[in-house]
Amino acid sequence: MTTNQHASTLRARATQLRALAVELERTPAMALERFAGTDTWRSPRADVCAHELIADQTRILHAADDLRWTALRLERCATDLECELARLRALEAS
Amino acid sequence: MSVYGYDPARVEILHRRTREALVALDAIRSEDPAAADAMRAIALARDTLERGWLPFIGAIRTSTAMTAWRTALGADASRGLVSNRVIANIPSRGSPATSWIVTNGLDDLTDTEVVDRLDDSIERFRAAVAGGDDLDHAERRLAVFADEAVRRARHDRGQFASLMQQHLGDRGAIAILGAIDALDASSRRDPRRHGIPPAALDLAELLAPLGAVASVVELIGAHLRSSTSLAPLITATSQAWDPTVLVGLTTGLIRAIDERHYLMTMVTPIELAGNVDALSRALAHDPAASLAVLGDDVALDYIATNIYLAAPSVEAVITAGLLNAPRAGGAAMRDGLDALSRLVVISDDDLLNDGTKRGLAAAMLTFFPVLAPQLDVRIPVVVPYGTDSDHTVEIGDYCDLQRLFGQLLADDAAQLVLGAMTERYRVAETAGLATTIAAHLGDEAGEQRARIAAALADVSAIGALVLRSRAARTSLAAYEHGLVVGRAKSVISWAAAIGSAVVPSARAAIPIASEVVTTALDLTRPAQVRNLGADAASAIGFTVTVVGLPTSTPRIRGALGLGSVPAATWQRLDDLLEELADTDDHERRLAIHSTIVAIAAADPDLDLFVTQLETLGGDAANAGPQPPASCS
Repeated sequence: MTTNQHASTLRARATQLRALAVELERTPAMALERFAGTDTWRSPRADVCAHELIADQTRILHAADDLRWTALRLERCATDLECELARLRALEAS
Repeated sequence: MSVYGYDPARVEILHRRTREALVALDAIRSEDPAAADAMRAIALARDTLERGWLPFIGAIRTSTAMTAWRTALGADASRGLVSNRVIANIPSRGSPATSWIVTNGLDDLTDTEVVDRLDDSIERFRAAVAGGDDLDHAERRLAVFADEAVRRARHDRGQFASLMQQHLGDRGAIAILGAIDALDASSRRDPRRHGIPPAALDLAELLAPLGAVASVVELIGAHLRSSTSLAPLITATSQAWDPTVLVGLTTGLIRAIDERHYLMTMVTPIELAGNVDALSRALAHDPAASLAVLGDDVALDYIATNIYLAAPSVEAVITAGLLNAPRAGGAAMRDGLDALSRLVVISDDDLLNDGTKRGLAAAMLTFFPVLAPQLDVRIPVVVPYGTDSDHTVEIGDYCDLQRLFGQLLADDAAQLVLGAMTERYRVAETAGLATTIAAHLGDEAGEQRARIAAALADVSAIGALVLRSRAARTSLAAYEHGLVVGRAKSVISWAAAIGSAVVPSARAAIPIASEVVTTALDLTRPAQVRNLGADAASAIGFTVTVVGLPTSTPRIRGALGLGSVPAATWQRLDDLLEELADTDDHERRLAIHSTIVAIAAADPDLDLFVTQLETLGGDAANAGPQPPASCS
């Protein structure tokens, strides 16, 4: 794989990871609590369900943040590769 | 069980949305290694919905309670139009509500699943305490499953304990003990919290039936030697614990303290005394178990003399073990007498703590009837027991008993109880005399008088022992007060408390002196009680018995050879005795007593009768051989 192809792959991965982050944030489970409030059910076990859902949602939100952070790092990496390639080409030309 | 509500229409929507959420989570895919954590988060959320939410929602949708609820709501419910109105009327916890589902929402889980969830909750909670997940959430989750497990265990503790042991092994008990420690530590760190966390109480109740397993008992015993979190929970859940296990744990703990095992732990002897204190309170609910602990020499030494133990706890276990338990007779009476003889030895070279003095003073109501006939300053006091009185226990000699009673008299509250118990003993000994005389109407008057004298002599012997035990500087004001209030109408509540303590079937042994009698002392400080002298109070009791007997009926008078005493004399005496019974005023009582004595002395037959009984059964009966001066 050439450096250019490698950089393109990194950018493609970054795009997919960002898309995945959006998908995670928008998945219906992230809004399920709206249908599981005290107007739907009230019991200790319902409380446990609600708390477990909140824990899962928090975990998913953190994962989405991580995905965006990883995407940013991949893009920077791709930019670094492209800059390095440009520098090498400039050296060869001189 | 609390009352909780479900809106059927909304639950249906939630069911649909949950399934959609699951499908959407399933659809999320990524092969990128950088998305591994995200996919794990998705898998966990999927697990929550699939294993937690859907079964719960399914249980609600298929439960009969739900159907009943729908029926109760009528047609509106079937159209899903009632939820807001009904939700607005959700009752407060615990109030009756026919329209709402009565459930705690865990009915669909099998016992094994509940045990699994509890085990998982404990692990999560311990991890949270160690700095992992949300602590509040972890504790709430633990509380929910511990509460459910206890609810199920109460149907059949043994069966549920077997299930736990079979499923989790000793690891279950270890986890519970660890969680109790963690709850205790978490509770101490949070200043907003008060009292014992409910989850800790539930866990202790679940631990109790596991005590049937020897290895678990060892674990609990080791925990009691190195931690202070469990003992108060055992007190609070004492009804769930097998008394035999409590006896083993208590004696084991005391022996470990005695052997200085605490030097290898982080707890102090004072903290360990707190554990013994808590176990004593748990034991006091069971007289036989209390007696079993007091039957262990090391345990009895520790409980009777340790100054770090709270007086009410010690008093409770001594009262239960020595006042109530021996009343079953046989081996229990033997064990009670053995403990008494051991206490006599202990009191010879060590100071009894206040709780022991007070409990032992109350226990004298049990011991006086067997002790009194054997009191003789010249020979050791050997008490027979059993139906045939063919077994004996040597309590000690008269001097030893004097030393023991001397210690009891050193505490005002113990003095008061001793006075009351002496009075109750006098009443019990003399209450049946009229019946006995009537049953032997054909006997000579002299025989009848001898019969009365024998009963009175026992009472007088106890009175003499108490008076001889008094140290030179000890005031007997509280004892005298006890003799009076033992039957005074003005302290009905106090007397009722004494009564419930001596009824074998009474559930709790009341710490009589520490909580109730001290109040009585406060109501009438010894300073306010005229110092009439214990002999005066004793003399009044004697006169009431001796003169009261023939006053009751002409038949008794005839049987006692007093038929020639004029009827007017008896009428006058009867009036005075009635007046004496009605007053608590000490001066008035003394004056009435003097009048009764004067009236009796004025009649030759009556005077002879009183003098004979005084000589044979009154204080004068104890005027013979005296204990050595070195005793006092």
